[in-house]
Amino acid sequence: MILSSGSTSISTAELECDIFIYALGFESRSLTLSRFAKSSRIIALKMPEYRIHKYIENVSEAEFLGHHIVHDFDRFLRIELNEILLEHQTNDLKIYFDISSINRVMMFRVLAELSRLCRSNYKLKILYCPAAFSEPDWRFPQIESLGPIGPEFSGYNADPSKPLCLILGLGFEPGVSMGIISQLEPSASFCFWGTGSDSRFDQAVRRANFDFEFTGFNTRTISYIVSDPQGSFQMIESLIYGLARNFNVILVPMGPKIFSFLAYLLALTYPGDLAIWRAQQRRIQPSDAKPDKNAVYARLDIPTLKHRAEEQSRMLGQVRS
Amino acid sequence: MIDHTSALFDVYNARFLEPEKVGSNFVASPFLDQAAASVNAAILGPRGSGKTTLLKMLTLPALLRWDSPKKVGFAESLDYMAVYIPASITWSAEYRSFHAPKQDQESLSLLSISLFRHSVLLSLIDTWMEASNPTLLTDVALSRFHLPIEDAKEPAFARELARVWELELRASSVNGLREAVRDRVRLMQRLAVRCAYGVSTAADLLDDAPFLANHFLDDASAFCDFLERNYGFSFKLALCFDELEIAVDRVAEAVLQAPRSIDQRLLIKFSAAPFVGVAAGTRQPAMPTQQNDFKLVFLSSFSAKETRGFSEALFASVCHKHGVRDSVDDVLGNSFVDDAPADSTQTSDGPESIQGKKYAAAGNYHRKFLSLFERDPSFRDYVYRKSINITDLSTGSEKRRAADIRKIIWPVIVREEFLFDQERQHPSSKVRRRLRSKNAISDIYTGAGALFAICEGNPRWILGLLEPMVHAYQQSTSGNASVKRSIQRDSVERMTAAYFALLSTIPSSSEAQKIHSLVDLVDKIGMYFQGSVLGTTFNADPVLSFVVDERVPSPVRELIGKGINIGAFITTQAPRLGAYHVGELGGLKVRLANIFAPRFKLPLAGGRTIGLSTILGRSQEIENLTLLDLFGTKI
Repeated sequence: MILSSGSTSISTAELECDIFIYALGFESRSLTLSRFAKSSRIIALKMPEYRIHKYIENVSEAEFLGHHIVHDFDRFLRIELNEILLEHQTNDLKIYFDISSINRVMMFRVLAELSRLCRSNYKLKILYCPAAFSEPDWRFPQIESLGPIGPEFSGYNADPSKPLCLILGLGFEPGVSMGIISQLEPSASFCFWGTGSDSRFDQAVRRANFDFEFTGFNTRTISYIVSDPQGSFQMIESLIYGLARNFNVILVPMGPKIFSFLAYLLALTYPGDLAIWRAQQRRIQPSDAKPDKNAVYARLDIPTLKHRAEEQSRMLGQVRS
Repeated sequence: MIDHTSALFDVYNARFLEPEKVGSNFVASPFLDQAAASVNAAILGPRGSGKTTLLKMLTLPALLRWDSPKKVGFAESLDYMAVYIPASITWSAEYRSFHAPKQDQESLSLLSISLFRHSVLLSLIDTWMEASNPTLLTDVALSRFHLPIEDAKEPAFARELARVWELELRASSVNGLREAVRDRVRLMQRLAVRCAYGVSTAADLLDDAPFLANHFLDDASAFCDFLERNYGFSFKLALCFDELEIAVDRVAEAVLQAPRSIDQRLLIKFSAAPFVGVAAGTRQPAMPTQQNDFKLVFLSSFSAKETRGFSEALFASVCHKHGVRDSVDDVLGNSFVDDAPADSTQTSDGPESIQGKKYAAAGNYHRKFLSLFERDPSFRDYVYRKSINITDLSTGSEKRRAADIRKIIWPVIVREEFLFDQERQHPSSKVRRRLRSKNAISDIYTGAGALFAICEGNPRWILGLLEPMVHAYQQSTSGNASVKRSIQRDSVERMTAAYFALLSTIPSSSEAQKIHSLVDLVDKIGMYFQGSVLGTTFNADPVLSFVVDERVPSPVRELIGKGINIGAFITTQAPRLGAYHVGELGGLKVRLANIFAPRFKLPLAGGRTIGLSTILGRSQEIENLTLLDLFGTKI
């Protein structure tokens, strides 16, 4: 599913493309990669308005730079994206999608549309700018709700009588992973934590997750390299392959956005069987994320992506009809 | 069946264990007989209190593997065959509709109840299979429940059940029945997706899938008919519904009303955390009550001393598993709890001479009393006022000691431990009143008795906290020394930290009195209790429990309920006159779980009770707690 991946300095990153899509929100890193992008069409998906941190500056800068700001996200997916793609007559369109500041639900929807609309000879690259380390907010967030990201990610073909296995992407929100495990009481849990960017993050993730000691629950903790989406995907995919026969597997992506991107690819790999859930948290104020020096990229195998997206769509069509 | 989980990891939770394994490891619970009585029963207790174990112990595979002298008499007394029915939120249709604004609640309820119904069908099939095990014939007390499934009869049996349960069989066998149920479940999951997209209404669903209207009690009755017809089966069926608190409201409602089933061949037993939202929110006549519909079995004990016997037995079984033959005190060492009464109101039951030694000069109590007497002027005043002979606490009768000394042991221990500078070397140097480090766990919370008190007799906590210590003891190269206090302190600290994390994630709708979460509420109450024990003036009878009174706002009551469910608050059972309604909180006497004692520097004992509204009204405003506030940078 991923042809190649890696990490490169932002200043030297290859960011020349036909269409560059990013999320315009309150994070300091929101526009970072777009500033280096060499593209005739830069699309800014305006996030829900939250006037904190750099929100106002970011919107002003995007307007100043002439980015195409998308105010109606639903319409963009329904009509506009397709029109934009059709405008380009070329067969080898290069589309870059920066997922750094987007929320998970929007990311999944954009990826789903791109998977559907891209032609086989297009080039689609996912970009991610990891946050520079800053002291995490150690306040305990509350889990407001927990459930599938959408009906298509509900594991509608899975057998709920099988024991439950959770695969968690860990972040540094204090106690959230413990809370999810405690609420769902899975028979087994595999907790993935992203490493390799800054050892202070590693320490923060450890602290927020109580040194990975989930006493009383059956958990295993596994690290993955944030800058190696391809290797990480292969590792998690092979784990799920082994588990799917005996367990009802639910994946809850938290932590770095790149893990959520991998979750989307995994959902396409096991359509109807693997459920992807989201833990919606309540915080008094979300933290800012300043850009680090590097960008992570993953180039996708469009024919495979399209094939799997079509298969998912076909199955879902059967369910809906 | 393959036990996949135990192959992967160690297991602390009975939910993941096959009944056979529960039976082979079972440590007799004092509540087993009550739970097993031939009546409808509500088994209430916080998470980890052993509800699942009790229900699984009623099943044939567990009983078959139970190795205990008590077993034969117990099994012979059963006039029913138990059907264990697990709950899981992943069965709920509501968990398949997140972020789908078009969802129709009526459709989702319909699907959730039917999904649950099919879980009951799987349990009935499993029970029938378990009863077909020929090993039952070798068991004197259980052979009467044997239900053979002969090859020649299996297809007819399967077809008969499929007909009464309205299933479509692909293969006429028991496995075919299971597959038919699973096919149905997949169909319903797809229907849930359609509902989430707004494609189907409840009426459409019922038109397309009439089986959605069927009820699990009718299925159970039909199963009884089937057993009577084919086996002459004359026993009852006990439907044992586990973990009702995690079921969606409509399912919980259906189970709560099940004790009013008119089929006398069915018994209903359900386990739940004490606060079941759907039951608390309604006073419909259909809701069952303790007196009329079921027997109440309450698994938590307000007094830590009551759970000590069970905790020790469970600990002994853990030691046995690790090949450790030494006593509890050898492994964990003594604690102040082993000397001090866990409940300050109770009198001693030991011989007078042994009790006297504890009070004698140079005894543990005496050292603490003398030390506090030197440092705390308010305690000195109290001693003078009560004419206590501080130089020799052993004087006088045991009755007198109970009245004057025993009831204040815990306040004395805690004040002496936390209130004054411990580094003072010379009696003449100035006494400084200050709270010691806010994050450190004190040694008064280590040792066997203290650790058992902190675990509250909760098997999951006992296993989670103490099994690693037994392992450390077994691996230790330092002879027979008990587990180091530093290891015990770290373990308690980690367990407390993880527990706060769990509390922090419990959703709350409360904004009342600036309480945003369960952590806020626990902190407010804990700090109030701390002030009562460690205040400026020595308090012989500090406030350490509360009653949920009428003035407590409803969102806070709901939080208290959630806290009780998760074991953060310990309650006495139904203190009021009249019938207890499942889920009711009003008038309950509640205390903080002992797991919070190290954090708030509280006695591991009971104390005076006041109204919660008073506590909340007098508490100081609190900031949002952070991980670092609670545990510093140690974690």
